[in-house]
Amino acid sequence: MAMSQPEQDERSAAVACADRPVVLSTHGLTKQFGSLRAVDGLDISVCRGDVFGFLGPNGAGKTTVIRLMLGLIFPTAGYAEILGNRVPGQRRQAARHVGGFVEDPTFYPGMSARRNLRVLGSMSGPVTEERIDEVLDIVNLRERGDSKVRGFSHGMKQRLGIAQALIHRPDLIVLDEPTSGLDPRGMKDVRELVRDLGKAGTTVFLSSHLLHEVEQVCNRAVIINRGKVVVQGPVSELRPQGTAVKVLTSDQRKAGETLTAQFGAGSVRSDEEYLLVSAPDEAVPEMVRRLVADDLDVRAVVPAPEQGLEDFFLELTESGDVGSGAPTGKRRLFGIPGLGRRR
Amino acid sequence: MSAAGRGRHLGPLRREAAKLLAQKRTFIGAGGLILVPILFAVGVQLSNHGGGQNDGGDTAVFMLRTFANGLYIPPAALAVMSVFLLPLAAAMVGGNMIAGEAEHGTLRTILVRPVDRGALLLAKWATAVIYLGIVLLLVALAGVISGWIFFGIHPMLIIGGTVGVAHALWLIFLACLMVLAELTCVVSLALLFSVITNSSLAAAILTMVIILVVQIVLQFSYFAGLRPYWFLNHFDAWFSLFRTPVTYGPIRSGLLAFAAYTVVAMVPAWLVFRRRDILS
Repeated sequence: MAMSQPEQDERSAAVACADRPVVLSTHGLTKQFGSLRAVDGLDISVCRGDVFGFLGPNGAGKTTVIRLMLGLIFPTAGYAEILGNRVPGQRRQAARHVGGFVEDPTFYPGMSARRNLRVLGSMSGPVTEERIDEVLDIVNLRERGDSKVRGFSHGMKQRLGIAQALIHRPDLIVLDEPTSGLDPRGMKDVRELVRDLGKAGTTVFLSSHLLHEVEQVCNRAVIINRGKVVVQGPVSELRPQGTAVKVLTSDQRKAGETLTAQFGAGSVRSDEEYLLVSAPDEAVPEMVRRLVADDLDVRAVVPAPEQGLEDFFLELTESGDVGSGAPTGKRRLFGIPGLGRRR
Repeated sequence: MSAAGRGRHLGPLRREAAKLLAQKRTFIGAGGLILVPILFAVGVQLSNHGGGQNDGGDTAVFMLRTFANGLYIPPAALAVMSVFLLPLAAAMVGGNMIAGEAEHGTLRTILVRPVDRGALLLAKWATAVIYLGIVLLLVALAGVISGWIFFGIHPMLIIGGTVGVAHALWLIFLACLMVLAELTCVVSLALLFSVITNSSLAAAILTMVIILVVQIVLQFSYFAGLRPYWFLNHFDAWFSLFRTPVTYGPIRSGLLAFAAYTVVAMVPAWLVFRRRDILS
């Protein structure tokens, strides 16, 4: 029997999470601002217990997606779903399960941190003084609880933002670039806090354009660009799986031509003084034979360190390669054409 | 469970009140308005003791006769303030309600929570009206106290008779309510522009510009037929309270106009706000 589109959407979200419940999913989420399609048919799934990285370059549509998920703006098409509650239709029910902030966390400057938490928290239900103390402890702001927010530093406001997100014990925390503008110490503190939340079983949706941050903190991630999913899956699988070697010869330009002839232009690029070649292990002996046959002195052939998520991210977002779904290796690894290009 | 341990659930009105009270401008604005009747009383007192300078003798006699009773200070102050100063204050309060939160980014912080947008708008409207109501009562109180200090409190001579002090105070209270009804229209208009413009200053200015332009246009005899339909035309409806017997016609017309304008402004504000993208 044929499934309806919503049933198919729910099924694909459930498949992504295997045996874990889906906490957050989007289904064909689209947002058009005039002629600009900021979000274009986005399908993502976040499973219970995930610390889910939401990656994309500036302007990729990350904040717009978060606004859509939280019901701050209305989709042109599609919808988000939070623990079975559709947004925007059931936004209020969905919001009971969510805590977080969009862009910078904002507060009433004339009120103390404690009073801000009381006022904001009470919108989601009763708030006890004990709970306020607890969340202030979690973000290490207990001693400043009675100080007016007007005098808080950016880092303190970020931490208070996390405290207000936690105040009603939500199932899902949505944090939009929580380390933005923080000094290294502040960044480390916030990342540790997010990691701790994940360890405690809270599902976290972490938007960031810092790839190493996602590598450090998240177990699953999605990369978006121009409002579309580029790739989505476990962070460990987002890394390219292809094999690469670095080659140093007596004439790199001539070697580049030889290697391009063997492996194709997309598989060879320069990496400082080396040529970085995407080639399986079994192709390396033949590669060396050809270089020698072309009268080149082969000075070094060394395994390339695993290409980082950062390179991968740049390739994907710069090349505009979107909608590819799961990682597929070589195509993703050296997708940027142009031998001799340095990054 | 201890009192401290019990969960506290602030209602929308209490939350809005807490926010309003956390702003210095709330007190500065109220203080400025409360000063008006006090300055009014001081001004009249100084005019009364002008030292024999006969600079407008008839006027001085009139002033003496009129203001030799402190109970005249509140209605006189309200009459002066309800034309421009109080509408301006109402426009600023209403204009700041949504747009102020949008400008500070707190609107998105609130709307991430499970609050109903329509209920939030109504809570803000009600908070603004209650705030202005309290300010009006404080203005009247300041007028009574300063009038009492400078002129004493006596039975009040009104058109058609004299009323006792208690009855006069009741009439002053009713006059405050009528002025509040007028200001509710202004708040509603400002709230509509606050929802549309995202700028508290633009909302307040737009409200005042519309009020002033319509007022000017209606001065032309060609538009005289429209005057009854303009809410500010009824700003003096409460004068009818100070007659005995009271003439209820102007009061009814005024209240009807105030209610109509409030609904006409609030319905689109509510519709727009419920569906508006929050991009601030």
